[in-house]
Amino acid sequence: MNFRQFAINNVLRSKRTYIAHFLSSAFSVMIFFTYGLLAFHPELKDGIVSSSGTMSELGTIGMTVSQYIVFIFSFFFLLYSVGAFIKVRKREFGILLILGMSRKQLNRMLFIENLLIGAAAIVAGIGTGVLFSKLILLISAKVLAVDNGLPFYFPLKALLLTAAAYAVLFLLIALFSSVMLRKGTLLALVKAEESPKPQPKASPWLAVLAVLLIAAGYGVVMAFAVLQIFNFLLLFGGVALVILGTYFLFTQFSVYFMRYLQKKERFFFRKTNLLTISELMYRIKDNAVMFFLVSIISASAFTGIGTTLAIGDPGLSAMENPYAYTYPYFEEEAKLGNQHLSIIREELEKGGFNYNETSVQPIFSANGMKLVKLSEYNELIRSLGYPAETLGEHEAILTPSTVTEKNSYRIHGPAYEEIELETGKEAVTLQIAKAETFIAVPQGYGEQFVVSDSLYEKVKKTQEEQGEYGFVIFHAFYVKNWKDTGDATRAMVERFNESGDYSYYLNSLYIDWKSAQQKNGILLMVSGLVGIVFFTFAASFVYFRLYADLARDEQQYQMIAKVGLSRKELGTIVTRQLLIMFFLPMLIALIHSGVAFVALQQLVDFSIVGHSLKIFLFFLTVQIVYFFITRWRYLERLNKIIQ
Amino acid sequence: MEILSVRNLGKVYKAAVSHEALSNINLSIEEGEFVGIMGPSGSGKTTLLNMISTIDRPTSGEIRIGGEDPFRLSQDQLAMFRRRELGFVFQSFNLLNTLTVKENIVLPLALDGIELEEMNRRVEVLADKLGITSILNKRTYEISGGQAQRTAVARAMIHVPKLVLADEPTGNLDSKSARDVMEIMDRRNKEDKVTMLLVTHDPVAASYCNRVIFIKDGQLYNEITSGDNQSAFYQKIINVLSLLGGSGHEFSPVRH
Repeated sequence: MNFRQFAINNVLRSKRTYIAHFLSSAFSVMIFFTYGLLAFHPELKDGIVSSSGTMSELGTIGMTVSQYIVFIFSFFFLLYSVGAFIKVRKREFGILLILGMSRKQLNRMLFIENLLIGAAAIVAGIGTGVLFSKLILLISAKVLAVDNGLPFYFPLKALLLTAAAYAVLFLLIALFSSVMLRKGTLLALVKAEESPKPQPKASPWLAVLAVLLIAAGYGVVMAFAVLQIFNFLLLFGGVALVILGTYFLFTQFSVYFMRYLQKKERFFFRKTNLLTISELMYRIKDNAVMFFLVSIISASAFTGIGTTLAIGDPGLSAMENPYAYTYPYFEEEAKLGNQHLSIIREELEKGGFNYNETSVQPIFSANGMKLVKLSEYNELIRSLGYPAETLGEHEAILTPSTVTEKNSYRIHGPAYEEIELETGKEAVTLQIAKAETFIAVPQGYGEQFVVSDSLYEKVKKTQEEQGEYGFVIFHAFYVKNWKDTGDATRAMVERFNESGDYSYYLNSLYIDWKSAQQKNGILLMVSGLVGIVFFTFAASFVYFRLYADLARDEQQYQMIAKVGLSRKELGTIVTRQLLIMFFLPMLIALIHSGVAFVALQQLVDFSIVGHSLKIFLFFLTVQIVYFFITRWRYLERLNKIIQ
Repeated sequence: MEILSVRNLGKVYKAAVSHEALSNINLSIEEGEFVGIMGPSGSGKTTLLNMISTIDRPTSGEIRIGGEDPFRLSQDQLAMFRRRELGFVFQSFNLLNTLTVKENIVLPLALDGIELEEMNRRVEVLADKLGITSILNKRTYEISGGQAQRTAVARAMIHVPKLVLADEPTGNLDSKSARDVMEIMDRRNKEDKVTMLLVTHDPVAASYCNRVIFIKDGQLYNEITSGDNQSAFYQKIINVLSLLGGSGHEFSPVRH
């Protein structure tokens, strides 16, 4: 047996100690690999590029960013897992050092071990990744609405990237694990299990500060959303405040709270409370950083997925454009325009849709004001189901063309009370009668003013006299159940193409929605994967914590059992502790992301309550299942020992 | 030749209330001696052993093992020193359960990079002397406490150290196994001239020594030397222990 054999035997023969660490490493390798597999897929890239450049860019950025995030969290996660692992084995290292192992040799042993586990995890992770890649490709094609599915390909690039990235990662971890052991004397190592923990300390000021910081953070985020001050520094500031507050909440406030419970003797000395609280105190201080990480990770996962689900909502597409079809044409192309319009009408009738058709021709005044004729505007808003407006000669309605404008009108009202309008010969001052808070004019951009018919005609006439032609006429078709217009739309596009014309003149809400869905499919999947990875990491944190403490717990409960603790009481104590370990960070995460959702709701017109509830329920269910499994396994183990 | 020399050794644990665990200890062990240290709980005997073992530092005084002061060595030199000059036997065996009995025994040699043939030769000889040849390929959870402690003794001696340190080696064993282990250690001492220092509660275990040193409240209390007769020595130990007082309840029941 030489030294290398010794290190290898050490790993191979204590599989159980290493297996958890190995499995989570392999898992994170697999997720990373899956990302790479999708990101480098040749067809997926082309498929998105064709629908929209910015969309594919967004998708790719999302993919890359989450790959970094997975990688960074993998690092912390593995570091933590190695830390827990080393803690369990401190005594072993102590014995080895006493027997005359030099620090250099100990470091080398840790290094070999980590490299072994790392290599195995990389192989296993990529192996399962390749095996499942067919399945993953199938599912993602479905989610991404790529029509013909994605063929299996040999993901060499993803494979190499994953292997290289994790090789570096495991090397770093191996180095770190040597550093972790450097501090501490030999005696401390050997007696690691016996030495009592010092009483946790906390400052009441920091405890109060924790609550204040979180409240301030919430306030800033809400200000961002409600007042629509779109300054990203503000948003980041709010998030940073909340994160800092959460840190103090767990490290300071929790200890302080437990201390308070401890001082209430009537409560503290009642039955198993004594044990539960003192154990919790030991755990909470120890686990504060873990709780903090888990809360923040889970909160980001919830918020990310929730936001993506909201983006995927059909309400979002309809928010920007209420019309199922918009068809613009120039007056001089009226013949072709009418042909196309009749195709649209025919196909809609064939599909049995009720539709309201209206037309509008916005014009520009000499000083560049965009004007909409009141009678046309009234037609438009009537088709959407709003009552008609009336206007005086010197009045105008400001009507929004984007969601941002709409929101700003709703919150701040119009930016000015009157406007100067040059009709060509003279200037007219118009009072802004109101600023409308819904989008009615199709395919608008910039500020648009609804003016009386007579003024509109006057401006139009002078403009035409001066040779200004080419005002586009928009025909807008409002269809209530536009989500079902898929077949009709496809038929229209086909007929447009047959006649050799440009079908992109036709703007279809259905197509917009579908292509948004494709973009968001990627986002959804990416954030879904990130969410699941984060969540698994978070849950594994708890598991590792328990595992690291198991030896100590066994001893502790064995001792207490001798004093006279029934199985039922043991069950109560353990259940309460596990409840807190599993659900306290989750609760904080739910509150954080709940606030984020309330903020998000301010930005959109449709309700996102359903989406938020769906996410919360999903993760809560998973967590509950996880809790019961852990509780069962843990209790079984303890019960076996205390007999 | 003097193997161990302890001069004016003192140890103070610094805390809110400092506690003097040992003061002014002087001690000398010659080559081939088998010395026991006894004393009531809290007398400082384990502290003394920890410092001789180099896993704890004295606050005053000096320890020399084989003429060398281990606390003047660098970390790596100290590792070498432990590996080559010291052997340890613990109350709780402290075998590595990831290794087989044989691998546990040769661990100090493996750390030192000794040739495989040499390792095997030494294990064979030693295992035969200690009666553990049949269990060499078993894992630690497959063997009894007595066998585990004999394995630990083998591990402590495989590299022919200058000094073997034993901390309550019989504390976790039944009387039969305890006797076996002590007899093995005694024989190694007599036949191979292994120098040994033993800390124990157990008067029977102590009766195998050439000399027993008593400590009370961190100071040397008494020292008695064995004659030819072990049971007479045992009786002498019992007498000193009862004189030590305050610890009468701690005596292990007499074993037969």
